[in-house]
Amino acid sequence: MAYERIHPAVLAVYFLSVTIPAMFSQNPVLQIVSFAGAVCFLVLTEEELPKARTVVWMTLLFVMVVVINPLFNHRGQTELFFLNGHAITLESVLYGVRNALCVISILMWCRIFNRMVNSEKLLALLGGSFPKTALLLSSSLRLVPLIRHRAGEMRDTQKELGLYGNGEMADRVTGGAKVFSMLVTWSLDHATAVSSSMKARGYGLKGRTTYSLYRFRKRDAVKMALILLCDAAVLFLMAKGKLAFSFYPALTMADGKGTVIAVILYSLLVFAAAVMEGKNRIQWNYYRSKI
Amino acid sequence: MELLQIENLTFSYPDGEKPALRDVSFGLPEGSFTILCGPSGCGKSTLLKLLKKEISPYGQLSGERLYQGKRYEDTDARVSGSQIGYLAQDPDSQIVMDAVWQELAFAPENLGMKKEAIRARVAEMAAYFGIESWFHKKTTELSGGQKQLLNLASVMTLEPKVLLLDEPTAQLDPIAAGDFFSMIGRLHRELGVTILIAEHRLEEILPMADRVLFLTEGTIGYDGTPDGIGTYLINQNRGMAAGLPASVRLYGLLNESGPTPLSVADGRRLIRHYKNAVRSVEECPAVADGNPVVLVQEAWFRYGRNGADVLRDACLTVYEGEHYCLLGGNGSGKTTLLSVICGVLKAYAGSVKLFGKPIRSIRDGERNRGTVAMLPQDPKTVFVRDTVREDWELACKTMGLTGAEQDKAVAAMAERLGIAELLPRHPYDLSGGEQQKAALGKVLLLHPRLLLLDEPTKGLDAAYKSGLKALLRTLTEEGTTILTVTHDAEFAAECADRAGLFFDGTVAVSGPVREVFSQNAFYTTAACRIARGYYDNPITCEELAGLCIRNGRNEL
Repeated sequence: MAYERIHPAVLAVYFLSVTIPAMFSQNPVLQIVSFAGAVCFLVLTEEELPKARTVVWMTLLFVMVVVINPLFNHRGQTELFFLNGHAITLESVLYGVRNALCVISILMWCRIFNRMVNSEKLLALLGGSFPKTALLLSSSLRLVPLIRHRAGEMRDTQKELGLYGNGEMADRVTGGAKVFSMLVTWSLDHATAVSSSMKARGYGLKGRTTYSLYRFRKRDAVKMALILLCDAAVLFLMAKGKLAFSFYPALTMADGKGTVIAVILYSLLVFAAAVMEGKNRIQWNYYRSKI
Repeated sequence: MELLQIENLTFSYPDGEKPALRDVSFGLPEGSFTILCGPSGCGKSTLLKLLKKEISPYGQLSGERLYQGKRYEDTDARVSGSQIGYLAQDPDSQIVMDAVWQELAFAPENLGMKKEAIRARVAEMAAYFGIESWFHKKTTELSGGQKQLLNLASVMTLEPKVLLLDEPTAQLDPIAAGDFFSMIGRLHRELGVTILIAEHRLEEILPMADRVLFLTEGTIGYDGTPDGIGTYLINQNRGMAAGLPASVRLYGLLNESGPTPLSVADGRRLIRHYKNAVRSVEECPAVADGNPVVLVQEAWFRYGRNGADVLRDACLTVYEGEHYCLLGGNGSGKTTLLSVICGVLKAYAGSVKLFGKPIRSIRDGERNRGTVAMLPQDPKTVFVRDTVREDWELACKTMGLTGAEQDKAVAAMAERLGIAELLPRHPYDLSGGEQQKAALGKVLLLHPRLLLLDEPTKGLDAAYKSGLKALLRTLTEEGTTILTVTHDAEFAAECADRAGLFFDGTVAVSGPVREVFSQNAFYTTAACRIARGYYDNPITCEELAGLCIRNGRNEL
C-alpha cells in the first residue's frame, strides 16, 4: 500500500484535514466529496469485500440518522406530508441526509486512519512529544493480551480440576471471582518482575531518548507542506463564508469563485489518498507484467 | 585484574533466620565462562542479583563487590547499568514493549543514545541474533525460545562486558534451550563477553565453560575446572550428581580415573575400554496389558472452525497401573491431547473413552471426583487462594470432605510430600520446585485414578526430579495410572513403562520404553546415544554402567 511509505505524522495531519472541514461545514457538497473519497479509497485498498454485517449496520445507521431529524425538526418551507399533525419538510429530510453522510463518512475515515496508523505508528507519533505516555501505552498494549491469556490458562486449569463449578450459576460466579482475585495477584507479581527487568536494562538513567522506526523524509515534508497549504486555503475560505450553506427555511448556498476554489481544493485533498493508491496499483501491475 | 570481584560477601534477607550467602569470594577474569550450579534455594539467584546493583535485593550485606577494581557503591550508574547485563528465568516477565523492534530499542533509549546510533545498534543486534524475520511482530506472538532470545538480544544492545544469566533456559524446551546455549557460546567466543550462568542443565554447557562454581547452602563448595565437578559431586554423593551429563555420571559409576569425559563422543570413547560380549540388558516383563484406562481412537481436534487440525487421527491406549510418557516437539499438540483426555476440550471426530466409558457420558462432577485430574505445565495456575492450605482445602471440599476429615486429608498429603512447612505460605512465594509439589498435592487430593502430568520436570533441579520420580513410582504401585507429556527423555527412560512419540497430530511410535528409546537415534537419552552400536538396549546410565561392569575391561 502506498500509505505504508508515508510518515505517520503526515497521515495524521491528512486525517484531520479531511475530516474537520466536512464535520464543521454545513455544506453538503463537502460531505458528498468526503464520502466519495472514502469509498474510493476503501474500494481500492480493501482486500476482501466488506462483511454483510458491516454493510447492514452502516445502512441502518444511515437510515436512522436521516429519519430522526425530520421527526423532531419541523422547520423548512416545503411540506411533504403531515405526521401526527406535524409537518415533515423536504429541508429537514435533506438536513438528515447531510448529517447521515457526515457521520458515515467520518466513520469510514476513522476506519481508514486506523488501518493507516496502527498502534505502533501512533506510539511513534506520541513518542515525539509525550515519551512517558508512549512507553506506558506500549507496555499496556503488551499487558492486555498477556493477562487475557493468563486468565484463560487459570480458568482452564480450574475447570480441569473441577473447581470452576459444575455448571451452576452460583458456582461459576464464585469460581470466576477466585480466578479474578488470583489474576490480580499474578499481575502485581508480573509487574514487579517487569520493573526489575527494566531497571536491569538502565531504565531510570537520566536523558532517555525515544527511538522510532519511521524517518521523516524530504518527500514527507513536501506532502505535509502541500496538505497544510490546501488546509490553509480551505479554512480561510470557510472562515470567509464561501462555503456557507443553510437548510432553513429554504436551501441557500454561497456561490462564486471562492466557493468553487474551496470545493476543488478540498476534493483534491480528499481524493489524494485514493489517487495515490490507484497509482500504486497500476504501477504494481506494470512491474509485475515485467517480472 | 579481575573484571568482577567479590570478597567475603555475606547477605541475609530481612526475614531470613540464616544468611542466604555466607562468606562468598571469587573473581571473574575478563572473557571467562563460569557456570554457577547448586541445588534450588542454595542462593544462586540471590548471588546473581547482588552482582547487578540495580536489582539487588534488600537485606543485610557485608563484604565487598568490585567492578573493574572499583567498589559497586562508587561505580557510575551509567557504567554499572550498561556494562553488567542480567537475564532472568521467565521469558515473559522481562519483555516490556509491544513490538519486537521497540523492545530492542528499549535499552539504548534508556542510555539516551541518539536516534541514528540506536538504529545502527538495533539493526546490528537483530541481524546477529537472526531476529530479522520476526522483527516487526508483536512480542506476545513469539514462542518461548524466541522471547528469551529477544531478551538476550535486548540486554546485548547495551554492549555489556559481563553477562549474568539466571537459569535462562529453565522454561524452554530442549531444542530452544540448545539454540539459546549456542548463542551464549557465540557471544563468548566471538565477542569475548564474560559469562556467569546459573544452570542445572549441564549436559550442553559444561563443555563450553572454563570454570564451575558449586554453591551449597550459601557457601561455595567447589570452585574449579569443569573436569573436577563430576568427581566432586559424585564423591560428595549429592542428589545433584544426577544433573551431570550422562558421560560424567557413567564415569562416576564406573569408578574411572583420568580426564572426565564431558560430551557424548567422550562417553563413546570411554565404553570402548570395555568388552561387549553381552550386548543387552535383560528385558523386564512388560506390563502392557490389563484394562485400557485411556482409549483414544482416531480423534480429530482443531481450535476454531478455520484452524488447522492439531490432533489428526490420534490414537492412544494407556493401560491400568502403568506410567506412559508421551514425548514430542513443542507445539506438536501433546498438551491438546491431554486436554481432550481430561474433557476440557472435545474432539470433533473419533472417540475418547476413560475406564471403558465414553467421555461424553461422564458428568463433569463425576469426572473430577476421583477419576481424572491434570497437573498443568505452569503450576502457578493451580492456585486460587492466599495460602497453600486454603487451596488444598478447596480440593477437599470438591471431594465432599468437611471439618476434621479435611484437616486429616491435608495433613496426610503434606506429610506424604514432605512440605508441611509450606502450608501456611502464599503459593507465589514458593520456589519453582516447591510450587510444583504444592500443586501436585492439590491435584492428588482429588484422588484421581488417572493422573495427567504436563511437563512435570520443567525447571526442576536434579534433586527435585529424583523426588518426583520416587513419588510417581509409589503412585503407580498403588494403582494410579499416569500419563505424562514431556520433553525430558532421561526422565521418561527412568520412570515410564511405555513411551510414545507424538508427531504431526498423532502418536507416531508407541511401545515399551526400552524399545522406543533403543530404536530412536536422535530423540532418545544420552546413555542410549553413548551405547549406540556397541550395546543394544541400555537406556539409562545405570544400565549402561551395569553392562560395562558385567562385560569387564578390555585387556590391552
